[in-house]
Amino acid sequence: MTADDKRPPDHPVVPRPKRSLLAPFMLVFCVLVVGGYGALAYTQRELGTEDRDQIPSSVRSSPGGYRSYSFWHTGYHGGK
Amino acid sequence: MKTTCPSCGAEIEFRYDDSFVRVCSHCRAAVARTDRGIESLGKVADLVPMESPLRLFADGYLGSQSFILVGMAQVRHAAGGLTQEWYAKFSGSWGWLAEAQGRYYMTFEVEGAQLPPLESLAAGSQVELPTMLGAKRMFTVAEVGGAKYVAANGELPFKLVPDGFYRFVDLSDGQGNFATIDYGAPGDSPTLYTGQQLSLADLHISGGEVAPPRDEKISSTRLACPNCNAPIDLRAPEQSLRVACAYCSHVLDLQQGTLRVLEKLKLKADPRIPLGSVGTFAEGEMTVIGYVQRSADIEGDWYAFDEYLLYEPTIGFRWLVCSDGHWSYVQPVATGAAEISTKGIKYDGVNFRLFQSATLRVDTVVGEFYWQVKAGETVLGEDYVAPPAMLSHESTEGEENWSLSTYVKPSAVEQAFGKAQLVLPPTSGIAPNQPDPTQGVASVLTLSLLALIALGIVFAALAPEVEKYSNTSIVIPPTAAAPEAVPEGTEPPTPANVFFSEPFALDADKNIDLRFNTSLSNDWSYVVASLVNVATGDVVSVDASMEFYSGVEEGEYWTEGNQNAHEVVGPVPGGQYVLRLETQHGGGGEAMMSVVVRQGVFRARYFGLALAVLGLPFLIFGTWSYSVEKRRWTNSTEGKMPKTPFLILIGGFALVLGGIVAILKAIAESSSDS
Repeated sequence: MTADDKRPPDHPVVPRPKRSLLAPFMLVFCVLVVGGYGALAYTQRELGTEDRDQIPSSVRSSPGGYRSYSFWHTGYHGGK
Repeated sequence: MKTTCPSCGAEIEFRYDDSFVRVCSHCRAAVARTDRGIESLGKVADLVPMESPLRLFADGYLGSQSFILVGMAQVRHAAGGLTQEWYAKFSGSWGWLAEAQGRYYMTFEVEGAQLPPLESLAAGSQVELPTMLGAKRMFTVAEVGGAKYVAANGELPFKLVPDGFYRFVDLSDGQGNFATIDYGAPGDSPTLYTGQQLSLADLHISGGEVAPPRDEKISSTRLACPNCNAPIDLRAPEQSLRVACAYCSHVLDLQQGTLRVLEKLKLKADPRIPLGSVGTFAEGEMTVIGYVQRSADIEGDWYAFDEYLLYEPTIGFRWLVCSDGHWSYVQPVATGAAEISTKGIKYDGVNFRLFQSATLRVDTVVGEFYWQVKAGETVLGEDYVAPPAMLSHESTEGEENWSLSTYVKPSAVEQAFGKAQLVLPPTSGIAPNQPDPTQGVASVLTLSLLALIALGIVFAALAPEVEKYSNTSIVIPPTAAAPEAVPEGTEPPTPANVFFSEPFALDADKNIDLRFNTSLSNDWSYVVASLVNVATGDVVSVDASMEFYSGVEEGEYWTEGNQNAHEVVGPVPGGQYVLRLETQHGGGGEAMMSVVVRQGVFRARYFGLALAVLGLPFLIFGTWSYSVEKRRWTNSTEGKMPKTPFLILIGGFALVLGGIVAILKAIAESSSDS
């Protein structure tokens, strides 16, 4: 016996609105947006604004170390 | 008690001590036993054959109480309908079991009830009445009418007068409870009967007399039209009161298998679904037995719509309604089940909004009908919507009916009738109960928006923004002079425009905010900032430009640009770092610059970006939903368009604008601080 069978006669169930087929797609989209923001905010990562490099150990061990003029002005220029 | 019929002398038996009348099965005389003896009340007509699962002397159960059906009377309503009233003998009491159009109502007499005068009641009136258990309930009047006993059988607990007319009021509380007030003939005291509407399964009927031969039953389902002699197929012959001939468009009265011409219809009916078609719906298979074209009076113009009467003996009557190419499956709703609420009408926990109130007129008919349908007859109709459902109320002076319509896609109608080659009309506009195609999207977006805002608040509140290094006295020389030549193998001195900080500690997994503040005046500056990991030599670099100009023009002070800038770097491994700054500026002399390094800053830019990305679908679906609702409510005569889609639209706009403003602000902050 279903729940409908227990209803008095002439008391049909009101059909409830069905979710649009678009709703699941929007849910995925929203999860990606909110999740993406959450991941970005949690990891504190930036969307590609900086240049990353490494001063070779030979430069670091040479006179001047990381202050080496030749590194900054010949091998690496930094910035844009 | 056995005795002889005073009319024909045949032996008759009163099986029950408290039965009052026995109908003689030989001569149809209603024989009453009184304290003065046996007397005949007159002859009742022969029973009108009606298909019924109930039988005389059948057993049944109502809850834990057993009963037996000892008598039955056929009642002809003033409107033409025929119902059967069975008398159920319980242990020590009587129940009245009314049977009409596949519905069953078991009621019991309630003695001593204070009842309102008949004149004070009309369809839709509300009356508080006591029930069998003594508690009072609010009942709504479904019908005020009159009827007369036309035939009877078995034993009856009251003095049935053949052709005796009585007045009655039927009421329902909308929760399955049912009441009838029998006002009898003028001058009689009213009697209250209350009980419940039940399904056949609730009665647990079994046994009973074998049905007598049904010579007079309209067993033949094909009759000839008395006007044009065309064949007329009857699919619910025992329920139908009116038949409309498909060939000559005459409305015929159907009484006990005989057709009589009533009127000729001005408009020939042209149903899209042929009569006799069998469709499969959620409740089961149903046959199309009638078609009515009706019109609604909307501000003086009559708009036609089609109604198909469906019938199946175990289900009863249903309707399939087509308006502007949109279809609805319609089920009856008990009077009183719908209650008035502040938002319109509430039924089954759902609020319905008033959509339309109009006079409805019958234009033309074809097929057979359980009521005395007549072209030109009108009722007042009100429609309340909660898509995909619509609650309709139709009222006349003496009767009110409620029904529930469920939207059915045209493709589902075609599917319901299987391989039938239906040519359905194209849809136009938005139906009152057509579902919103964006249903559910708004809630997903709203919940996501709330989640995003909550995340933003949490991250903003938890952002530590710890200062790791600052220097307020960095000199930017006028030019970046190239170092003087030095002997090979030796390192030239650090140029004047390059600054190295002392090592300072940076934490892992936290972003780094570099804020620059200059003393520029009508000048520009450019800085390349590099964070050097002392231990590993890893370098992260960003650059920033600043320019600031001001002056007085026509007596007004103006400024342009910004003396500040900031750049954010993603997390670096924890350890000791040196900040290297290589600067330039455009003017002469020296400029001063300060720098502050902080970690764990809240990035409003990304929050704004996420807001804008969510705002875009808000805008799209809000516009779509608004468009649907606007088109739907354009056809409404009474209701106003709900605010929800409009609010979604406004919300979408606000979000997009807010997001864009936040992004622009963040970009402006990063490029030129104030």
